[in-house]
Amino acid sequence: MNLLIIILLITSLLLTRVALLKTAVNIILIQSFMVALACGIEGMEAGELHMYIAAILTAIIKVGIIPYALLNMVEKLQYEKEDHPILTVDASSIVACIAIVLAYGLIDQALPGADSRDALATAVAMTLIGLLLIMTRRQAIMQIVGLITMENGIYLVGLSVTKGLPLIIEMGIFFDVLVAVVVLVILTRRLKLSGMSTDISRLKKLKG
Amino acid sequence: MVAEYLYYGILLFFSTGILSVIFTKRNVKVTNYIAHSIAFMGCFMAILCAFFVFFQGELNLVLPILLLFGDMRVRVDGLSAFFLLIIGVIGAATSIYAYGYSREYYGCRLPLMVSLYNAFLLSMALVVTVHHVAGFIIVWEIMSLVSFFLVNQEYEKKTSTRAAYIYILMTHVGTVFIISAFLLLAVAAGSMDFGQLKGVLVSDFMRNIIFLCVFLGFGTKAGIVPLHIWLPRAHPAAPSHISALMSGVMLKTAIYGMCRFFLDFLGTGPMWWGVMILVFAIITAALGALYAFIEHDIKRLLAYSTVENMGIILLGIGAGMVFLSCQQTILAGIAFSAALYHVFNHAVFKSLFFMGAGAVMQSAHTKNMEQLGGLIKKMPYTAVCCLIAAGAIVALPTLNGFVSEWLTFQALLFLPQAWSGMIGKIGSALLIALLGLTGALAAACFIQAFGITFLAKPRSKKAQEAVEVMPSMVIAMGMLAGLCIIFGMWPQIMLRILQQALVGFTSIDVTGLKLQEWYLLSFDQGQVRGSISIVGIGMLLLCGIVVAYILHRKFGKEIKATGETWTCGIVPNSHMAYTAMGFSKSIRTVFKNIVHTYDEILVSTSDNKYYGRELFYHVRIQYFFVSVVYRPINEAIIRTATFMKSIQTGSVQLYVGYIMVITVIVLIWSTRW
Repeated sequence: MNLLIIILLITSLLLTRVALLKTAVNIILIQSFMVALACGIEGMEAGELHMYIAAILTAIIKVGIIPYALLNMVEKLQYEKEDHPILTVDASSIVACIAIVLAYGLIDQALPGADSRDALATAVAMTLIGLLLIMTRRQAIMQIVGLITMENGIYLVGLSVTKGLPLIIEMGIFFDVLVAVVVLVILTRRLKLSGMSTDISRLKKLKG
Repeated sequence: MVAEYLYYGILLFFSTGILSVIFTKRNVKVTNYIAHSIAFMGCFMAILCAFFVFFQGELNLVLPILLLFGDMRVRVDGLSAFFLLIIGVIGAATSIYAYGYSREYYGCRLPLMVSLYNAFLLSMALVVTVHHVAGFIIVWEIMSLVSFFLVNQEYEKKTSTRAAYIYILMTHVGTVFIISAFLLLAVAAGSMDFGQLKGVLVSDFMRNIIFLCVFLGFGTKAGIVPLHIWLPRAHPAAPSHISALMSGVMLKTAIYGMCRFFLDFLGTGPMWWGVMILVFAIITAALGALYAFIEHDIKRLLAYSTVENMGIILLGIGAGMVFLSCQQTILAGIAFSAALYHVFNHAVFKSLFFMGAGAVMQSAHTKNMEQLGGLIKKMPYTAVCCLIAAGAIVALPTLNGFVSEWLTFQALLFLPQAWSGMIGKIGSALLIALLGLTGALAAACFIQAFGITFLAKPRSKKAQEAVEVMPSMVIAMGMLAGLCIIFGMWPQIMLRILQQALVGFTSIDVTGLKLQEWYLLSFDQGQVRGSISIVGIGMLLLCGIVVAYILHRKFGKEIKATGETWTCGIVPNSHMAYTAMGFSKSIRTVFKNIVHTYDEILVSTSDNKYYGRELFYHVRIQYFFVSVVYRPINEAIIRTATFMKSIQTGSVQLYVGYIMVITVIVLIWSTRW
């Protein structure tokens, strides 16, 4: 479990450093896979069937459908690349590190002596890093990547606090993410068509 | 029992009036006649209902409408019935007037207007009868919104939309205070029913807060001076019969609310309540009259005159509050009677003058007095009605305005009995002097309004082509003019009604007013006495006229004038008569410290210097309260908005950044780090 958490943290940190969209999508694929694995391990420890179902669903949606759609998209955006992020890669890595420290501090303060301290801290850190990505990256694909990172973090919080949410709620969350990503992919495609670029800082022009 | 059916009749008629346009909208003429007839029937029912309540005692019923907090209770007591009577009388007159006046609006959203007109009457009737906090606030808000739409009737004009915007803004500011006052009381009482709000135990501090809220909230509607700015904009923008209703009736609902609070809910308060009302009232009256005088748009002039009259009404209420605080029940009774008498009188004569102004506007197509003149020959009936209205407004004896102003003066004269000490004496003397000044200014103002509009020669082609208006409009004006005379000659009728209206309130005593002698206005109770005989005054007036006539015949030499030599051969034309601007020049000079005006003279010279020059004279008025109170507030709001705009850059990332910052702060805060 600890190994998984370390991998999750590393993937999140890595995301702050990539410039190529394809690499970013691949990293998110690995991250989601790790989350699904964590879900499965939780289920094994608790010995509950619905956790396995949740793990399989995670795998299908987050490791299968979403990365597939994103990769497809990235294929079409050959010349798009995260050239000039608002915060440079080095700076955003440092901010991400601060976020991790902050997350640990928060968890120690809020839930002292919790069982799954590392998992919780990682979850909070991932949420913050996801927000950071959305905030500091110009490419629409990177925004989606940030969103999924956040979502993974939130999922992990639920996993480590409750030892598994009821299945119906998890289904709801999955559906939510799926719809969000589908909408975002469509929007990105439209953006490319109408703006010749997926750089969302161009959206500023829309302001009246 | 009859009163109950009549009350349901009011609601039924007005509701039918609202909906009738759906079936008749094909033909605007039919719409006009049917909807206004229904409104007239509703108003007639309101009058009957009020009289039945006066004779048979109050009416209690529960409307079959479910509210969130208990039943929608309706209770028509004396006070409600009095205001219902005003709505009925003025509404009936405006409904008749509207038959003719609405022709202006054929093909200009007339169905919408008549539907709103009925809704306006319905909402006002409900405002004065509903006895339930939530119900009151709802109907009050409906009344404000409906009148907003009526002000905005001609929304193609930019001035209309602007006026409506300022109106809705001010009225909502007022509503905030009203709602706070009601809720503070309702929470303390633990009930939403008006009956339970009476004599609720609240701390003195809370009582003062509630008082201030009531004063500010209803004061905005009543147009007390720093809060009056919507009035001179909204009244000219609305159609004339609507202005008549707004000025005559809707503003009075604010007085109803104040009476409800001061006589019923709050009980006797400290003296400074009354003194504060008096101070604001006298400022309102004096400035209203002054501003009215320097106006030359006839409807704006009337709007400012409304402000002035609201000041006079509030003087009565303020004096009553002072007397209440010293348990001078009889004097309080006289003061409140004076206020309510003036409420009725103002409703009658101001609606009448607004209708007259509407008639002038309809036939001369302008409301700028500088372009009118000479209308007394073209529109004699309208002119006579306006003359009666003007006489009543300036409180000429034997017209109704005189009676209520006399009572108000009496109340102020007895003020030192409650407000002892030197300050009281000086204060009351000052109030009387200022009220006298107000009366004088109002007189000058209406001499100007009537003289410039109806006398002299027509100042423009529009005025030359004016003709007398439809008979229905003349009949409506004649009705109200008749009322002006009746309630001026026989004040007993109205005083009896007022006794019925106020007798239910134990804190004041209205038995002091003597009603036995006809044609005589008097009160007598121990130390407090005063009387005036209307017949006596009438006789004096008559004598004066007769003596003047005899003197004129005997000593006045007739001057025979042949030719027009002094005009250097020019036939006297309209340019030689007084203009409104010229007439008010002296007053503008006297009060230049209070009303800042800028006279601008534009000279346009032609190339040929022997041709002469053309002069344009223009006066710009700077309103003290606008520049001191409203402009700074306006600028502060704009500055804040501009500052807030700088964080709205349109960048998606920045917005997400805000969310992130907030999230982190909330996270940190939630763990009490």
